[in-house]
Amino acid sequence: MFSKLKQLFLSESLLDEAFKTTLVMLEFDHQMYQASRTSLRETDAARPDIDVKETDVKVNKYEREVRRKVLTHLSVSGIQHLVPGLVLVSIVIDVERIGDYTKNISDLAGHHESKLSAGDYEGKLQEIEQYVGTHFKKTIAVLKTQDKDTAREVMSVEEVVGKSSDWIVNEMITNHGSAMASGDAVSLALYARYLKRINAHLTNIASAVVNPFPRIGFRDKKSEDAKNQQT
Amino acid sequence: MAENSSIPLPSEARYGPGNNVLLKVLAIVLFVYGFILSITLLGIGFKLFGTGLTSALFKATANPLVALAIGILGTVLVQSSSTTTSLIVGMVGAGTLPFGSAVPMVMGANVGTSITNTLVSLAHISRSDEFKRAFAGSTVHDFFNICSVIVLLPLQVKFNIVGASSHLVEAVFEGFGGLKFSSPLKLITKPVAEAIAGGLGDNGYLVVVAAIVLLLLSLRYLVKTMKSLVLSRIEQFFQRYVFRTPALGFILGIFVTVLVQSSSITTSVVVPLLGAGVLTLQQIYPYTLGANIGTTITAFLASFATGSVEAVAIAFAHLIFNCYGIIIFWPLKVIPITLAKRLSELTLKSKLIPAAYILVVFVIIPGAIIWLGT
Repeated sequence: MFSKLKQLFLSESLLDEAFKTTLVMLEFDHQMYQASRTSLRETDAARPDIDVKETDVKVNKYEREVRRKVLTHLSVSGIQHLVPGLVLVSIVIDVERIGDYTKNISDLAGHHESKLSAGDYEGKLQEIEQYVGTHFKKTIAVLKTQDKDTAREVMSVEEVVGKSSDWIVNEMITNHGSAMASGDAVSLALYARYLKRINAHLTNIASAVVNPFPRIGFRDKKSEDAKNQQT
Repeated sequence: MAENSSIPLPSEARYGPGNNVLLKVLAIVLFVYGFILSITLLGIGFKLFGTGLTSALFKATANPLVALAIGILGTVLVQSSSTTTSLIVGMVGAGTLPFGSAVPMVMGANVGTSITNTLVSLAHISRSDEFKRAFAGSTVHDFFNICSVIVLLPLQVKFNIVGASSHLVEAVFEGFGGLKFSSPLKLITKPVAEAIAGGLGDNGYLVVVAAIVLLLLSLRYLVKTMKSLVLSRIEQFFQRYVFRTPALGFILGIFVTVLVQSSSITTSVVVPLLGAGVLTLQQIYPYTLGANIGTTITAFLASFATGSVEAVAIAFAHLIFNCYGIIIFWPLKVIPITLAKRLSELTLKSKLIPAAYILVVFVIIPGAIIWLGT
């Protein structure tokens, strides 16, 4: 009993624990994304290698845990860590939303009978997938190391990914993708959209390392000022 | 607020800059010494008044309701039952306040201290559901104390139930040599206290004022330092133990309050968790009772500084009053919990009700009793 008490007394703070849980959630998101993407794009198998639904349930549970731990920490230990607490509560929402979108990709793989080929849009799609895959790794690293330069790299590409995704969707809408079967076109549009949203949430998380709290999810102020000057 | 956001790296959140543990421990030792010194000084100061003050206080507090009201109002003013009970112990130790009058005063101190977490709950007043939960959670402490007084004060007046029990326990404690270590305490404080009294020209008023100021300051900074040293390390206990069983919640309430030396802090930290719905009234009720027990330790510390049997007895009276209250109102927890819930439901009708409740219970009624009684 005493050793348990001692262990508890010397253990890390709840805020530390909440931060580590957030990292674990992001790792789960990455695993879900890789499994869902492989299932949709590289195999004819409807089911991914991991149970994405089950993992998403874990991610949702961890989100509640992070909120509870941050609240308890701020209540008990005072508001000296108010900003990191608010930041964590803010970005954990993005982490949970990424989980939802990877689940959507998994559902798409389940409904799309064979592996999804993008035809004329394959190059563009692979470019987006490349960015999203890299950004997962970079965002996890950025959270661990607080590396602002890497965070800015992730943030700088958001517009490119967004525009590429929108272009694919618009192509499907305006029937320029008429060479594709309707099921493939719909799947492609949805997939591109999900990738855009995943990338946007990864960018929001990275922005938490660069921006002050009120600007989380927005452009880095330097880039914003530079853009305003150009216009 | 920091200009740049930062997500804390592991252990940065706790061991941030300026968190010098050794310095804080030394400060705690200093403040404890200051506290014990203030009690010793208080004793000297009251003795300088002679018998005049004693008879005046005896007359003023002979009425147990008046004594109760003085305990409530005094504690509300200083926002600390530890300060009030330490003062009471010091006065009993100096022979200035009769034991019989001190018992209802100590009961009053218990009631008065529960105002603090009720005030903390007012921060949630703009969000109705949240406020309803927070207010209920904080007033359950008030209602436990009030119910205990309603039952135990008449029993104390009629049968001296608390007084007799505390003298019995004190006699056993003394028999085990419990008072022996008050001598070393006196050794390190009496010369300094006598020097201060001498420096103030052995003027009773000045010495008592100096003692009270020293008591307030040392307790205040003791609590502040203990809080900064301890609370962030015990938040894990809140996460893992408060929510489990009533017994664990009760033990945690005692443990945390003994460490931070303040039941106001212990009961206030859970108010935001109640408001957010993370904790329920049923969960924090035993924790609150534990806080009531934990806070009695300060009175014991003060009593050892006096070396007086009666002072130790009144410290035991504080503990025993709370124990009796728990024996009655833990099985009958439905009473204070229901009262707290009913009152909080009323707050949905008008936001003036919480303010009216606080004013009436903690200021107007005790004030009226004192005015009418004297």
